[in-house]
Amino acid sequence: MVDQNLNILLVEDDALTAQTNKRLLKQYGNVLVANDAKEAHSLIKNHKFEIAFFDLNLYGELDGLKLLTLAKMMGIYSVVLSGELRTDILEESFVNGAKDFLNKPFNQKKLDSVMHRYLNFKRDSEFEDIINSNFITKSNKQTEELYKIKNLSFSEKPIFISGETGTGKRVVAHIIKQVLGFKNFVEINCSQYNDDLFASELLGHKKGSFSGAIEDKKGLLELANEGIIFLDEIHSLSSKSQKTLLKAIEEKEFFPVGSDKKVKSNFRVISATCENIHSLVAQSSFRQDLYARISTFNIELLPLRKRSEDINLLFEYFISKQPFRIVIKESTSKLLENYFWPQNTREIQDLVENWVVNGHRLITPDTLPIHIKNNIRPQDTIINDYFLDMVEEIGLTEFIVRFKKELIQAMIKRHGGVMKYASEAMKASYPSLSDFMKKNKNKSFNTRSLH
Amino acid sequence: MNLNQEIHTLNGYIHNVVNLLKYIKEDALIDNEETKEMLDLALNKENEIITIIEDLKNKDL
Repeated sequence: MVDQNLNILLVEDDALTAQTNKRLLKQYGNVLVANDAKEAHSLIKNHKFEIAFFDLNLYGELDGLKLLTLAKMMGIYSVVLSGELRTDILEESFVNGAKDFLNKPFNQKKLDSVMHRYLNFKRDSEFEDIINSNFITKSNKQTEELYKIKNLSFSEKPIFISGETGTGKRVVAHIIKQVLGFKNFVEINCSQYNDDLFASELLGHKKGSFSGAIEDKKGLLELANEGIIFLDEIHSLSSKSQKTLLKAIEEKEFFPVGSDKKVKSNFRVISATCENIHSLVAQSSFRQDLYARISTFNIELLPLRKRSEDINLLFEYFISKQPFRIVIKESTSKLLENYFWPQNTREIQDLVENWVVNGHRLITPDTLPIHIKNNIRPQDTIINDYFLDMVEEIGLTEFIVRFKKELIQAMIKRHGGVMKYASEAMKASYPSLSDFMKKNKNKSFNTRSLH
Repeated sequence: MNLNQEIHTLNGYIHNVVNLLKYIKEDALIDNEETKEMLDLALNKENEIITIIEDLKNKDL
């Protein structure tokens, strides 16, 4: 049985059937019965129903299909009660907005199945509403990632959000809170605390435990009891703080600083980082065991350059929030779409606010900052006069070998000295990279460094 | 009413009456022990009667 308190409409012209079905439906909420089309019409107009059961065989008096259309307009989930209903009418019912059907007469078990489907539908609709009103995207890949949130309620395990700066990690943490229905949500930006302060914030402290501890203070983990703790920028924790956190997460009980009284707390962890956590683990600057503990579920937020279809959408969104209308010229839109937005959504928001502050109403290419207008990217410096001189000096073949070798070496360094991670990051085959490095290991170059 | 509609009407009525009997029992509306016994016997017949009606619906009459 489903525990719900729904407003239910039952449209049924046979009085005995109406009463018995009403009794079956009553366990799901408040049931109002309409015995004819006119009454049904009036009830739909004057009440807020979540679900309605329509018997379409109302002895010719009722054009039930019209009622279905009205119910659809009012956002009601319609179930057609069919006895010996013809297939064509049933099909037409679905075209007119019916979402399900139930053969009459029905018993508890069949009704439970319908209600179960309805609750799934309701859950999906509510989920989509939350996503659409909090995260602007039409990127299929990003949407797929966000839809992982839907099933997070089936587990109590930790969630790990990764994404570059400004991609909306904090927004997603709040979406998760909303979808999972937690009221209790505490958050901490790990980058703002040293080890002692972090321990005190996380675990709480006892009065007098250190200078400045003028009263007992509850820690965030205790405050997150039966709720969520969101640890933003978790990569910035020191090794000592990581150990403190790991112990608390594993045991779900801890001693506040300076206290000998253990505190228990049942919290769910969401953590986020803008760094490449795999590299940090490979470099041993982030504990492998902590990462394993906090990353049961992963949500990856894409940078804007990988979902450029969202750029104009985001401008429209932020402009709609402003006190006056701002118009972006088409020539400007193209420049905005082509720019790579290293600070992601936050950069768009800042730019729009900048237009407002400066009173720009019509955005032409000349209104844009020079780096956006000219689409200046750090990687554009790859081909510069220095490189051109070198190609002339050592020849193209040697330049390419040297460039490739130094590039691979730099990538290996970036990925903690592990060639396997570097090859994955470069989307290159590990054997071919390894082979190339072996071949050119001792090759000396008589020119200046490429760096 | 054609035969199918008649069977459908009978089927609906029997379901309603069976449900009614269940509610009478659930609400403990009967004090008389003999009537209670009859009620249980009637309810025990539910599956048998429903199966007969389903068979009837599926027959080419």
